[in-house]
Amino acid sequence: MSLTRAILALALLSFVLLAAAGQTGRRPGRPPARPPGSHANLPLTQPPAVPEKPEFLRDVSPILDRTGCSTAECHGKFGGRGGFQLSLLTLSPEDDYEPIIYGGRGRRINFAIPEKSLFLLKATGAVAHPGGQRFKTMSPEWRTIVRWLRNGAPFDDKDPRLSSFSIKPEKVTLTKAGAPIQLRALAVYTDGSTRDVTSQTVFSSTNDAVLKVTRDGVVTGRQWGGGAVLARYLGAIGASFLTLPQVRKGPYPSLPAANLIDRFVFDNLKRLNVLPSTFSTDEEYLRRVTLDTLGRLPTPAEVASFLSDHAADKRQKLVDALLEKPEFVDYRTLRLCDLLRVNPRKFGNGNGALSDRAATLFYEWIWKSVDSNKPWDQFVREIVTAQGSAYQNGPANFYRVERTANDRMENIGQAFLGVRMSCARCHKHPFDRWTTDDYWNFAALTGKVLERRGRLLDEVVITHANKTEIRNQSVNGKNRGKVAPPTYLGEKEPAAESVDMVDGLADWMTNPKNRFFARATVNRLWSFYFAKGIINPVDDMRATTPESVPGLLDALAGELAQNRYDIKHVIRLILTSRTYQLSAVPNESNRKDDMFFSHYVPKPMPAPALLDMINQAAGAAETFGSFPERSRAIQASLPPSSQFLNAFGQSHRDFLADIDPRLEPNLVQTLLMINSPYIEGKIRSGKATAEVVKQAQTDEDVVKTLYLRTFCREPKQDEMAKALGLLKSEPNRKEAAQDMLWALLSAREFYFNH
Amino acid sequence: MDYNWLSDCEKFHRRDVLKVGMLSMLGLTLPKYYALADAAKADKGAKASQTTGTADSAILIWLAGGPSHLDTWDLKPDAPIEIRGSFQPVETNVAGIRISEHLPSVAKQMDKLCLVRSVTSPTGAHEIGTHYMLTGFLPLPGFAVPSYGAVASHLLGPRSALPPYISVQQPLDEMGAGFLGAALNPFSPGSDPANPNFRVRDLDTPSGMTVEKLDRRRALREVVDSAFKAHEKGSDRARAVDSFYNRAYTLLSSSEARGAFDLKQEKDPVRDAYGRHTFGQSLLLSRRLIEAGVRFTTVTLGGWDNHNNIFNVLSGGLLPRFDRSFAAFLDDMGQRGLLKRTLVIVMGEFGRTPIINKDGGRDHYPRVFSMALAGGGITGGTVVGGSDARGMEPSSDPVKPEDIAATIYQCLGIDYSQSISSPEGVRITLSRGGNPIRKALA
Repeated sequence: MSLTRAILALALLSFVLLAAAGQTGRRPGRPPARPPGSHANLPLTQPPAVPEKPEFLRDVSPILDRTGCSTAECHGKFGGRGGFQLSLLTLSPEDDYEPIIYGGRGRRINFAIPEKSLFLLKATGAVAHPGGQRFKTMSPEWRTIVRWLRNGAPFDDKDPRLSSFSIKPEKVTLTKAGAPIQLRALAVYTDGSTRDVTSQTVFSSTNDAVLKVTRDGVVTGRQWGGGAVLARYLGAIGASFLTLPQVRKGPYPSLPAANLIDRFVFDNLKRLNVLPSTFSTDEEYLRRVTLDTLGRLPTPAEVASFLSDHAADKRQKLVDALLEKPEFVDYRTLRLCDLLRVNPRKFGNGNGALSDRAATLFYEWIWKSVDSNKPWDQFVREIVTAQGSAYQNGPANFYRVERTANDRMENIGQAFLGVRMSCARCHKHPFDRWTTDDYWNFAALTGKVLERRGRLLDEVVITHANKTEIRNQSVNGKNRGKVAPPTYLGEKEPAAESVDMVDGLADWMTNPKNRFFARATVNRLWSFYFAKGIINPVDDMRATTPESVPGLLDALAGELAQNRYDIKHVIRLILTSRTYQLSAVPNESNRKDDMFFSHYVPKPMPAPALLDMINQAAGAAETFGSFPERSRAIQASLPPSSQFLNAFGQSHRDFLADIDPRLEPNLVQTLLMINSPYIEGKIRSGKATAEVVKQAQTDEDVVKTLYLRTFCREPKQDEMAKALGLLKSEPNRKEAAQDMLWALLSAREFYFNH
Repeated sequence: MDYNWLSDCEKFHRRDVLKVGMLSMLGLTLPKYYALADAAKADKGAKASQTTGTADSAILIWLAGGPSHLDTWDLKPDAPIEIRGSFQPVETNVAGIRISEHLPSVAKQMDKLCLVRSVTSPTGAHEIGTHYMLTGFLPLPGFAVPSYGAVASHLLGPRSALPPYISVQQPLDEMGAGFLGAALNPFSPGSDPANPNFRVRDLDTPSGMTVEKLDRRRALREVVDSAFKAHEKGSDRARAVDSFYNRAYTLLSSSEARGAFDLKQEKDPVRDAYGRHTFGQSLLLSRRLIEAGVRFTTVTLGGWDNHNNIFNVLSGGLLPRFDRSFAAFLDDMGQRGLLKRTLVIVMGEFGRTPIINKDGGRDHYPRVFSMALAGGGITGGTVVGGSDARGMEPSSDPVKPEDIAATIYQCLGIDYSQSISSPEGVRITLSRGGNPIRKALA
């Protein structure tokens, strides 16, 4: 189960837990505060009786969340249910007072006889309630609310607010499966008081397969692995990161580290007591790293030359050479074009030569930037601060992809900062720290980017205007409708006035102290090579999402910042790490690992690269888009229209969600590979089989050469024997070669980078 | 079983070749094949026992462009001339229900149809309206919502060797799987069923194949793929690709499944009755696919965006074509007993303005418009809701796109109040606050 999916299952889970807990639900009382750090393994203290003077925020609001009143399915959804709306998951509890007391013209509350309040009659199921019974009459929840109503339902500005919330302990290494640990939720309020609010907090596990957490915060490890327990209280989110090592006999071997990546990855594996896979063979490594850097297969000659090289540092030398090839520039440019959504339909008038021209201009600028290894901070700065005509200045087209201040801000957040802000557009982000103020105040910076018309057809000229203001357009935030003060993300104070606030935004983003920029960059790089980020998803790196390898992200981000944002430096570190060089074949210890990088994970190639691989292996020629002559799919400056590329998930660069191409296999792809005239045509008319047959003396030569052209290795003895046995029945050697090539192209060892 | 197609010697031969080839190929992986079939069976059993639906499958007929409600299902003969236009209503085979005079054949099938005359949506833009009607959601920024067919395939799974979701024509973007991933996008035959040489992409073995060659190739693939099995334990994707190979082989080796695409197996009078054009033959193909176990199909008929000259355009071609094909389809579906367990939905993105514009056309109008339902779970011969005397507002029982979503899901036995999760972890409720159209349901 994916981490974020689990986080989002939180609301549902609270229902399930509620049902399981039944009448044993904890009282929403006021357990005595405990000093931080002394919480692990303490027995759960009995909460005291119903508070003497219940407060709205601290005593009533948590009931709404914990008993499921404010979930998205019930009163938390937009428009509420039955005319009664609460803030989603009680994320902004202050907003809930009004609808409870005054909503429905006051019909929910009966101050004369509080017990007869509709609010309580519904919640206890005494009158028809589609949401069923949330708590019972005379339960602590019921008594707390009755007492609060009897006191006149007090709530005023002087009531203490939550100032910080945390889960203790923050990091736990569990000793064995099945042994429970008590987590505690600690709240600090604006009046300086603290409380243990464990019994008022909603807990959930991010990895149900590994961690089970009860309604009361008791966590048990199920099997080796790692994850987090998330906790929600009055709109604040806290997390505790837990790992459970593997039970395994035998000593842990010493693992040599090639560079800093291995130190973090291997230390973590040692902590988890998980054995990494063996080291990849030279053939495996050559194919893997060539595909990952150039988007094509190594040629048989390259295989032979690499295998015959006996230098100890030949893999490092190989990586150095690969990173200097023009194909590396093509391939990385393709990924950046997906990230930046270089799509003619977004540019110019959306259709026609001028749009293509704008897109090509943007493409060329990216290609040249990659070719000169432009430092990443400078690259991003030039995009964020781009001005002038989008028909003349390539990067100015970035602001054509999204057209409003807040959409542009979201785009910058997801593409460069690893932050997905969209939830906070309307309401407080349920699973991250962002408020609607954070959203709109950050968008106020991109609000300084303006468009004006140029003189050509649909020409747009990007300019900066410091005076432009935007208003907070949240649905129910307290600053709705007010001018949003431009504020950098996560800062408390508005940004200082500067001559050009957009330049200021770029300064802030690319400052080495920025908490998001370098981390998001290296996480994205990592995820390309390992098919998974250190934090996932790579465009949504929440503070509450655990890093699969603690410390690694900061270390790599530091490397990037200290090396003048040299992207190639980080790529080189990754590709020469022993971690990257591990075999894709799992062992008994690590076969269930899909997050700690203890083995390489076979990954599908991006669609254009896969098509190039097929053409390369079959010796087939193809043209793409407006390229007049034979070319490679990864070199097409704009996504070509192709049935193959669509079937294999090429990014169409339309939506923010498209910024990572889809790599999931499906049936249409398989039919296309094994049974289509398109692929069959390549097999029959490509030059590969004719050449092979011409040069081959024997069937054995045919098999061997075709293995080299596709799997980039020689066949093993038994493979050779079986293949020869099957090919015997075909007297025509060219036909036999075609059958062999078909089989190799249809096999998983070809399809995957492994 | 229908043996008619066996008389076609050439086809029989080709299938036979393939079948023999497939079987001997399967000899290599027989246990795997049976395991797959058993798993599918067990799954089907489990799903069936959970199913409370009134339909196993659905056909969505999409009238692209926004058909005028006032000239099709909801005429206003008593309204002023600038509203009622030039069409007259005619009686149907259900007393009291009258529809356009240019739908005479459909009028004879009215007992099978439920007209909803009070659909209402807030948006008069094609793209947004299409998205809303085909998914139950307004477009969400940066977030692709899956369509009904994709959700149904996702939650109910396939019923046969055929892909569960098929879009007979090239699907609209809004008919896609969105965040559910490409595997659930509709399969599309990729050519026009009205074309005499209509064939499905990548289902026919490339020419020049012999039994021996097929066998040899597949045996070779087993040989060269076997080393990769060592990777399976560490990779879901490696296992998934293997399962897709097995599914592809199952499909290619099932002449029944592949035969579902073969319109030549239909007798000429049937093909003629549906109409020898894209829409007619697409409906016929849909019927064949549903019969062969497809979960959800879509058929599109465009041309309804009649800003100019609406009465001549509708009466001169579009309505007669729709009328004959759709009536033949209802008749055929009914006679074959397929309507009992198949939900049929006919709709477009909005209706058209009651007041005729200066070009003799009608413009976009979403405040009230009509749709038709038939089949599994629907009470035929009924009208739900209505528009006011001028066709401007719902007069009773307003039906929102969310209600349509709830109706479709409920008929298919899917809990429409459940939420599904995107890979990024964003959850959406299948019908956001909608309710099934109770008066339409049997």
